[in-house]
Amino acid sequence: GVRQAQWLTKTKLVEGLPPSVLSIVDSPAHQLEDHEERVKRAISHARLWDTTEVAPRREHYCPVLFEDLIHLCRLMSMKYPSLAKRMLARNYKISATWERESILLQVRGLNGILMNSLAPIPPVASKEEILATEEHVLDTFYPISPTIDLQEVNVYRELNDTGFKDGYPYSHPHTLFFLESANIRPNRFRPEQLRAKMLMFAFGNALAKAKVLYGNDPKVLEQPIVVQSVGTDGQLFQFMVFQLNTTDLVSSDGIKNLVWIDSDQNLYEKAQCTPEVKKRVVTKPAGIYGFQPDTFKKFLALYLHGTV
Amino acid sequence: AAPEASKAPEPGTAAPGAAKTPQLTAYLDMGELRSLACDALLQESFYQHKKRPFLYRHQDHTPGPFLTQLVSTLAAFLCGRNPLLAASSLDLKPEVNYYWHHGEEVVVHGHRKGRVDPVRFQIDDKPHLQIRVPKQLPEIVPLESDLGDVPVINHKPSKLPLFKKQYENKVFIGSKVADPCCYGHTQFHLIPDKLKRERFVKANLEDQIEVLYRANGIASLFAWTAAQAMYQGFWNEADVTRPFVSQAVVTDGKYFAFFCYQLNTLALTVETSKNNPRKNICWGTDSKPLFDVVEDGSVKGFNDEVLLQLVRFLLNRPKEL
Repeated sequence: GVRQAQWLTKTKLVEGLPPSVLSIVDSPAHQLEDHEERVKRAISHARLWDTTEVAPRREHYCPVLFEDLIHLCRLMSMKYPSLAKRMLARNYKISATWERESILLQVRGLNGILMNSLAPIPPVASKEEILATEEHVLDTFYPISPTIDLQEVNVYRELNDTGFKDGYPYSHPHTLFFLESANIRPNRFRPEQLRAKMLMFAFGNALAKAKVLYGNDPKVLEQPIVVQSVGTDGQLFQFMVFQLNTTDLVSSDGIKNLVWIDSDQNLYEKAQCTPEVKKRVVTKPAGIYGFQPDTFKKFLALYLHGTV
Repeated sequence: AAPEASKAPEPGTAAPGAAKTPQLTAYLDMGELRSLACDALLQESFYQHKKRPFLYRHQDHTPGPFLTQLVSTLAAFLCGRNPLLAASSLDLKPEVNYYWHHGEEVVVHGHRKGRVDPVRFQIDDKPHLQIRVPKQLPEIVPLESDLGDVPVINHKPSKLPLFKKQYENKVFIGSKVADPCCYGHTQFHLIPDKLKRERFVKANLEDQIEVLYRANGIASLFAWTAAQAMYQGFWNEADVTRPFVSQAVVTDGKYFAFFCYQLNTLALTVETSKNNPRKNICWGTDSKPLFDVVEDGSVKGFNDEVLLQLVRFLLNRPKEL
């Protein structure tokens, strides 16, 4: 779960989103006009209308919902032209290697959809908060080894690769999106494991970028690198902001990295595809029930973060 | 005997609808648009580390993602100019289906031998990308104008071979009737790997390359506009009272061909087409390259004309907006 990921990445957890993101959520200037109506339309499109069958399957509606929400966020570039300078990369591969108390760890492979931006996100935590992490002690779960359930492989190349060649203009990883869209429940990650996966890959991306920018020596970073992450299964959203403060990961002391997690945010309660009929009377007409506008506001705030 | 499947004459050379508003180009920042297009192209073909493409799947490797990136960034960039785009809905790999009757045939064998039946047609299309909007695009020519004659083919389409098997009669524009974005704006089609230009050149069939683009444009646009008309309640007994207009871009990643289509009539069955002077019409361009080659992190030979045509397509909107 998340505690194991925290130990492996030497990170301190803070509940809720950081203040810079929350300020974007609350300010009305950073919202679309009649956004509630448009988000409801996007959910209805993904969950009810997008198929010739009666109800689309999760494999179909989860990516469609994601594309529609991103389309709505992109329309904000009317107000902020620099938002157009973002590039979505699908099917890209990341590799990052680090050592943690004499265990060599690697993060590799296809993970999610990455949004790259031209400019990096400014650090979210202040210098005092970063220094305060020095006293924080990582949870260990002795006697269980921290590498339990990790795949042990003999990989001979210690690779660090951001997934893109040098000279790529959109070189800063901004947000990683994870879509749990398998139809069968056992094939999907549970929310706790999804959050751990998000943390590991956000860390991997930040570490690869740090090694490109500052070299391979372990050190405390002057300019911390921030990578955000959003995970969803089509209904429940997990939001995460990760800040890499140090690449000195061998020991468990010293400055730690920080992560802010806002978990289990429902976008809507239920999507009724066919009306529920009891004894020839329609008890529940078709539609979306229990819509929560705040979840989309947080999604949009994470998208806008770093530009506004 | 069954005449031509959809009443659309051969397309003209230029697209008249897109020749309007030359003063728009003065307000558009061509440099900005060019850099957005080049960035999308470079990312997909050069900068991102990708494995080699799978066999015969080259379209999914580079041109497909490039087209998705290009259209989504351009649409977001231009939505300030075109309020219709700001209310639009972008679909990735949607399904478009249309079913219709046209002409007659005599049943050949079976217990209904000798009876006269209408010939049934069904198009099932999967464009790569499509933009749907809540308002209809303006008409290009008036509804009742005289547009010339349609070539007649006097044998069944299943001899061509086309429309041989009929699976399920479906009519679908990309989403169900309840969706407010029920009119089509632009579709983007990707030519599959089997029909690459190089294959045509090798088989000495260079004149057939343009035919492929045109056939794709006409068929897909007819199916889309007719399905939109059916969603609004028109069918072959109740013909359309206003024309339905949609646009399409057919490409293989490098060569782009632009089409726009106006549906004036749905009455294609034998009874209803007897006294029907209206015809549908499609305009299209030949395919032109957007760039010459991508090497060493830069795009060589970028063609601004093609990009401008694409931008004009995206900016198309009803006159009152």
